[in-house]
Amino acid sequence: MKALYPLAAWLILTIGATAARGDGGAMLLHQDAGAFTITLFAAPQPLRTGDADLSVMVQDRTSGEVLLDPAIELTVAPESVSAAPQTVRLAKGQAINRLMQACTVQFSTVGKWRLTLVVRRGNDSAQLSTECTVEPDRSRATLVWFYILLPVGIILLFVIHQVLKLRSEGKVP
Amino acid sequence: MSDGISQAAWSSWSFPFWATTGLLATALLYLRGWRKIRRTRPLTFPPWRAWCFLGGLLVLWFAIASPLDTLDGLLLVAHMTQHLILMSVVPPLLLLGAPAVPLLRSLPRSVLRDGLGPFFRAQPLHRIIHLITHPVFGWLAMNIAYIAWHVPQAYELALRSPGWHAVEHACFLGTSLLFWLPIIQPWPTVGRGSRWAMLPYLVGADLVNTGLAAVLSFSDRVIYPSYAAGPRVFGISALRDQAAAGALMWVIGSIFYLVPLAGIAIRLLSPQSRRLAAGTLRQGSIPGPQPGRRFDLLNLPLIGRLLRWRYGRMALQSVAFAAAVLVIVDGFFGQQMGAMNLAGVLPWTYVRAFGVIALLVLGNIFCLSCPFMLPRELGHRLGLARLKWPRWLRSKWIAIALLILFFWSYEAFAIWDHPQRTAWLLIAYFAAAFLVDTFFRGANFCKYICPLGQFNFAGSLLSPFTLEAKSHATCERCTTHDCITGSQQQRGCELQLYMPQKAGNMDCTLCMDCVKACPHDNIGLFAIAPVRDLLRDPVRSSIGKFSARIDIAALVLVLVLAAFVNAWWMVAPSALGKYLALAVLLAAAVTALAAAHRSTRKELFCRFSQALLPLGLAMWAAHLLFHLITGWATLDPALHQAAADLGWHLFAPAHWVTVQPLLPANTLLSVQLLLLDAGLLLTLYLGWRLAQQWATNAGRAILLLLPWATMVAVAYATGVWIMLQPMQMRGVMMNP
Repeated sequence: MKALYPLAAWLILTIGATAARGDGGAMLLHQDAGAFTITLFAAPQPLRTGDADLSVMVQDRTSGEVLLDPAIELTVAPESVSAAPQTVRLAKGQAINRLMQACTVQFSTVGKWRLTLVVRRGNDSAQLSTECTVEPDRSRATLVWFYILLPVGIILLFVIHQVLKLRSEGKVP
Repeated sequence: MSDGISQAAWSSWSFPFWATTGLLATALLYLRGWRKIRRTRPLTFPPWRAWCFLGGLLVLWFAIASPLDTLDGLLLVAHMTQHLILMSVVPPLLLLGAPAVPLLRSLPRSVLRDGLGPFFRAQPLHRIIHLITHPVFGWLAMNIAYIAWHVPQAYELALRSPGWHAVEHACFLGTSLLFWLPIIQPWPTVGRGSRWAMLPYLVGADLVNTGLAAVLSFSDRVIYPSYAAGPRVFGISALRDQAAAGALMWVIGSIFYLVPLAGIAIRLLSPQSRRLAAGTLRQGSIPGPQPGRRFDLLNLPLIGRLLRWRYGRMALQSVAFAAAVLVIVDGFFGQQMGAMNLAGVLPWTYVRAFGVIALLVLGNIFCLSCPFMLPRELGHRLGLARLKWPRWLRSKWIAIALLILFFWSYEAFAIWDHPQRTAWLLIAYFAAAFLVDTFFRGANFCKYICPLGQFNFAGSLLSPFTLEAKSHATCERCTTHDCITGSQQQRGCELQLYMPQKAGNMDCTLCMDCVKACPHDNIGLFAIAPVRDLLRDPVRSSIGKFSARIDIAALVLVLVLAAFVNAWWMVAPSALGKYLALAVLLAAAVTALAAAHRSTRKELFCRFSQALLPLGLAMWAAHLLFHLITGWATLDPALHQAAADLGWHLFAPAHWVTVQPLLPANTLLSVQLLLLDAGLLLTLYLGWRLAQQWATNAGRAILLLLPWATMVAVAYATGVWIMLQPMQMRGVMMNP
């Protein structure tokens, strides 16, 4: 029994190390435009229908210094269906990484979407766009399956527990 | 780099909710166990051990929540610092806290003995432990993980995917704990092999670290493409960033290996230290069990004082009574749309949900603060209560009939959407409580008639607190029995629950009369295992044995079935209840038949019906939580609306807008499914334990349980299906 103590402590402590990452996600775009170098990150990756976090880092094109105060607008529109484009203003407060600005965008349909960024700072402005593919959202299905399989796992563990217990009591050969 | 950018970078803290909660819980568990074990082993567990462990948790939190984590995708040096902390700072600190025994001692003894005990005694597990705690295994595991995760493909995978990144961190921490185990040798671990072996052990690890650090430092190309393709911050090129990361690993990483190496060498060369170390190891043995102290809620400073206070209950009842009066007045004279009226919002969205949550986390709080008891008290004081409640009515059947009538009329007459009907219902409740208890002695309305009370009584069988005698010896010596007979200053239990024979929460309104009446201060509100009450079948005061009470079994069945039918009605009205009821009866009948030769069908029916309670209550909680979470912001405008409708110019006009639910849809669904999972598991556990009581061996117990468990699984699946359907947004105002 003494030898098993480290295992229990090891399991408890290791679980604590798995934490969610900050914003950022995968890089969708990194490009020079006007006076800026603009990098667009998206999470989750690949993008799926539903809410997505988009973060933008703007740097001075010549010095590479991070610019904290540009006004950034992001417009997203699906390419295949005629839906009204969504335009959102990014905010510094929404990003965990304070070098970036972020927003939450809802991708309602599966398929190709066009993302257009407009960055303004003083007299400088720049616009660039990129395309991304949005895949079907499986998060709900994954979540449901996880919670259905969770009791199955616990029941299996309990069965092992009972077999071990009954065996130690001599009730099972 | 400007100050603004530096400030922005350093303010980039995240708050990983689950990890933070887990670390806090681990810290609390450790402290609890450390305090316990320190009573018997103060020399083995001095305060510095606790400081080391808590420091380790704090540094771990820093590694995953600080800007190091936020910037790791942009700067390799930040990422390497994070890894260094996870591998070389956190594990030694945690192990210096000798956490194994304190963490285990913090758990209840029954969990250790019955829950974990069989696993701890299993030989295969012993062999696995023996293997993974071997120094060779720890050395290989840590170094292989270290090298493997720094291969560009694996490293890039972790950068791209938060899930793999978490796995990477867990690998680093887990294997490093194994690596540092033979070096630190936390109590009660005993060293394996010579202590001299730790010298090449550490030198070897440092060589691996040096090799990897050299590759990073001297490479003339960027090894990890993400850093080359991404934005560069702070004016550092990707290559310089990589060289800096390599230098950090080389210098700081080596220090973490070489300092303990020097320490061990010095100790080995000092004969005095050797003797001391041997002495400490000999001291190590598993401490014997400590008598546990029970947690008494009445000992808490604020809650305990309120509950013990002579007018405590009346104060709570007065607030509830005022709310009930307001609901009645608004129900009659206010806006007649349910979602905009207090009568449609307060009882059906808030009180029901909070009532069920309170049952699960505390106890029968609704009955404690029941507003219907105030007029009844008035009736009592009229002195007309001379009649005895007829013996043939002393059961739950009237209440069950009323409960079924209520569930049916709630849907048939859409009471939730008709404020006036809700107001009439409350008036009828007040009148019934007043009339019954004005003319009959005792608390017959609560015990035999009140459907709401029966719901709470049944639900409270799963509550984690119960009123119990602190010492049965004191009860045996007591000659006055004030807890039931009362005294001149304080009445005793009106529900005839005699404390020495009271078991569990059935029929207990938590009125605290017994607590206040006991002259020996011998009654506490103790924490208990939530299913304990349903596992035992003692003769209960004023109730008898559960296995002989078909009415109580029927009450639980109604509660369980109503949970599914009521929720089903919200998504697609149909005859589910009928079929489910048939399924329950069929399963109960089959189960009873299976063991008819051993016991009576009645006993089996009663006990197995009661075992369904966790699933039923989980279904109620999952359903009512939906309404609370989606309609959480309705009370404020409903109050404003009520004031305006009643001509009280107390607030600004109601502002009806659509408000986001309190939790995102997937989080709410997670909570609901987790509740159902817990309900299913507890129900099956109860069923298994009951089956073991009747069956002679495990095989017969499984046979006995199988039809019943199948029905439980079907009910669980139905519950999951219902939760996945779009539910009617009752009590929520949607842009009128």
